[in-house]
Parts: sequence; structure tokens; C-alpha cells
Amino acid sequence: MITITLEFSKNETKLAGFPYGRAVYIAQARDNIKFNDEITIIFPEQIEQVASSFVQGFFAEIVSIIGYKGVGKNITIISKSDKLTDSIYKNIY
Amino acid sequence: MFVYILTNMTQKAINETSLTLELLLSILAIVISIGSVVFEYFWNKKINKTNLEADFFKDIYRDYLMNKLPNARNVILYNNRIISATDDLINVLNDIRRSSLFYKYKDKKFYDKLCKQLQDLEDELVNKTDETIDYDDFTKFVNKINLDIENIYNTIMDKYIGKK
Repeated sequence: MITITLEFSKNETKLAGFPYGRAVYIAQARDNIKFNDEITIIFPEQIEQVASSFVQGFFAEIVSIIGYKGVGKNITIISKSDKLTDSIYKNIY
Repeated sequence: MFVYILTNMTQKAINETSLTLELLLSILAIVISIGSVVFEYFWNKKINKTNLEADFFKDIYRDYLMNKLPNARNVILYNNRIISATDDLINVLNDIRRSSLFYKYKDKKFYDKLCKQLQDLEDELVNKTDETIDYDDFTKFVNKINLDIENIYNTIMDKYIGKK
């Protein structure tokens, strides 16, 4: 099992933009991910909102490699609240 | 005698020409009939396809355009210089995007254009929510939101009426 805790600057509470999502994935997740393992991605407590554009930028490569079914099966997302976590999952689609 | 033969030959020629003309007209009539049937078959097929797509379109977008989008827009608040209550509108924008997946494979150009508009507006809402802004900036924000929503309506309605 691989756990990736994302890091952002202290005053950053919202994440938006496909290019930004992709940049964060490349900088913080891509090199640590093994796609045959279970992966947990943790959004820090300070993050209150994540736009669908960021989610799609972040997960674009993951979806292209393991598909939506693989994401549902192997990826666990943890965030500040269940509501936010649920929103992130839904916005992968 | 000679005149008689000549008259006979002329009459024969006229009869043959008349026969050929009649034959030609008959063939033309048959060709036009068959052509009409074939044309009608393909035309009806096209109409049925258009009607089916119109049904899909109405099923997908009617409730969003008539109810959900305007109601979600109306919920946004500006109290003590802070914008809030944007969740409803953000959720509706994402619901429209997910509901449009049919067009990702049917009309990718329309799908990409609509998704960009939906997500650009969502980004604006996410970035401004819970931010402290003065009234002038709030007015600009409201005008931009209204314009973005109008553009989304136009994109969807243009698709429905077949305007590229």
C-alpha cells in the first residue's frame, strides 16, 4: 500500500485548474505510484474545496493507465471531510 | 403513286418517333418514381435520427436549463463582503458535465466547448467562495457569472437548433 500526502502552501485552501492538478500529480505523486498497488492519496486538512478541473488534471494519467474501474478499486482518497472526499471521487468522471 | 409512298413513309416515321417519345417518357416516369421512393426512405431515416437526438437532448438538458441552473444561481449570497452558498451551482455545473458524456463520443467539439465553459465557471466560483471582496468586485463577479451562464445556455441551445 502506498500513501501519498499532498503538500500545498499554508494559505492555499482551494485547488482549481487542470494544468495545476496535472503539475501537482507530476511533482508529488507520479514517481511514488506503483499501479499494481493500492494507493491512498491524502489531501491535507487545510484544503476545503477542490474543483473538478484540478481533480481531472491530477487523475488524468492514473485514469489513462488503470481506467475508471481501477481507480474505484485501487485508489483511496482522504480529505478534510466525507463531503469533500465524495466530491473528489465524483469529479474524476 | 410516289406521293402515296412518301406520305406513307412520313407517317411511319412520325409514328416511330411518337413511340420512342412515349417509351422515353415512360422510362423517365419509372425512374422518377423509384428515385422518389429512395429519396423518401433516406430522408425519413435522417428525420428519425434527428428526432431521436432531439429527444436525447431534451432528456439531458431540459431540467438543468429550466430549473436547476437558474435556481442554483439564485442561491449565491454576499454577506459581510464574503461570497458563499456556491455549492449548489458548482454541483449543478458538474452534473451537467457528467450528463453530457453522451456527446463526448457523439460530438466531441460540442462536448469540449461545453466542458470548458462549465469548468471555467466552476474554477471562478471555487476561487471566489469565502473570499472577502468589496462591493465593486462583487458586482464584477456577478456580471461575469451571469455572462458565463448565458454563454453556457447559448452553447447548449445552439447545439439544439443545429447552429455550429
